[in-house]
Amino acid sequence: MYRAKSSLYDQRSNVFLWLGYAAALLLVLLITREGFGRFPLWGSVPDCVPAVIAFVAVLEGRFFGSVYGIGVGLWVTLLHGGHGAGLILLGALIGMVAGGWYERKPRRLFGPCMMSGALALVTAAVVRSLAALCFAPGATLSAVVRIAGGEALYSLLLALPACPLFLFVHRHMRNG
Amino acid sequence: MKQFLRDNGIWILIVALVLTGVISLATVFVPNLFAPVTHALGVVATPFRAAASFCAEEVQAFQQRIGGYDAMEQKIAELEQQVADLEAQRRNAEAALEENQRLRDLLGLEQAHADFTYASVYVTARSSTSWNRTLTINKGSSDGLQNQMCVVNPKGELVGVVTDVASNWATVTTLIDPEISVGAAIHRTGDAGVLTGDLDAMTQGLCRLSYLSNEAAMEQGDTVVTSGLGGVYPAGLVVGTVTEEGTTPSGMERYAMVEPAAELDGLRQVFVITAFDVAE
Repeated sequence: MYRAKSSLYDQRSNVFLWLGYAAALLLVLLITREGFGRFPLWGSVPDCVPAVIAFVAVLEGRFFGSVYGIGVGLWVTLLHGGHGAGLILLGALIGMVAGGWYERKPRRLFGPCMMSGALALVTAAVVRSLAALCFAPGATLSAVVRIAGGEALYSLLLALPACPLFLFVHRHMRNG
Repeated sequence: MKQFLRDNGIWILIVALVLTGVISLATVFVPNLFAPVTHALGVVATPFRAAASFCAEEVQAFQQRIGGYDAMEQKIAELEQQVADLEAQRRNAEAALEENQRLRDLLGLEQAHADFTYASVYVTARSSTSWNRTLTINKGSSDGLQNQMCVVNPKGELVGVVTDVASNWATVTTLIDPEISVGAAIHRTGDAGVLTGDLDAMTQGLCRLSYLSNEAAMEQGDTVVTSGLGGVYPAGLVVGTVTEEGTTPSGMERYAMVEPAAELDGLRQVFVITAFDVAE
């Protein structure tokens, strides 16, 4: 039992696996922000980062998912000059909650990944809306709902094709 | 979940909380602490942004070719009419200029002038989040750009202000961004105020001219220009037109909603005013 647990830990601590997840994240960010960011939908641009954290958490469990969430949150925060540091904590929480799917060992991973991704996007939208209502000048409930809702829907649409990319990394890079 | 929290989850939560708190406080007390990291990441990302920007522009151009033929024909007709009207105005203006010069000579006044030095730049990326409206341009400090420089479109209409500069890229905060703050005035009456950001206005593509006095007289359609007060920004740059005016709930001051003259969505090439000299 100890050997089996150790072997499982080795699979998840495979450096190529995490390089693969990092490369997939960069690709998703490049396409969504620099590509689709030029075509706003309902005035909003997509942000798939919360969904990506949820995908990795479903595939690798609570511990690795939350560490990945902290790492991604920290990197995105530094990319924005230190603004939006709440994503670090949110990333950790998304990783912890979505990682619960890993323990259930689902046969098919796409469904749990998308459900967790959708929930993560909705949670991020709610948190950002509350932050905007508290701190953004001239923020009204209707404006905030319009922006957050548009962002969450657009991100969910783009998360659909992004999910198979992470499933590919999980299946082909896990064994090193 | 409880087992996970007992094992190591609580430490992960603590690390996340500490990181969040430290970075948030550092950003408040030392605003540019992470600027070197942001700039370095931006320098690395710039070639990828340029490539993505090129692909996106090709898609947009294809879209316009396919779907915009009828609209382009109508636009051509409108522009031809505008050219004819402008030719007539030019002829009237030439006569007015000659009279103006004669009167200045009579009174011994020097010609008023405004000299601007421009740097031509291209937009490589737009806002990275839905909660702001910024542009990323392809030049930075190595090309002489600095913070607080004004950015205009090819028609000379104000687009925004440079707010972050790295070596080979810079961020422009546009007029409708909630963080904008530029001195502006109603051109017809001279009433001065401050163009401030407003999230609600941003979703409608508008900005807000605040802190106008109670006696300010403005009408729908009035042109708003930069006031030049403080000397940071040049005066006289066209900002937009008044669409709505009102009084704050306290009744102490008036405000106007302004529709920017520059079309902020389709910008590809803009000009940064790197130096200006205004003589009255």
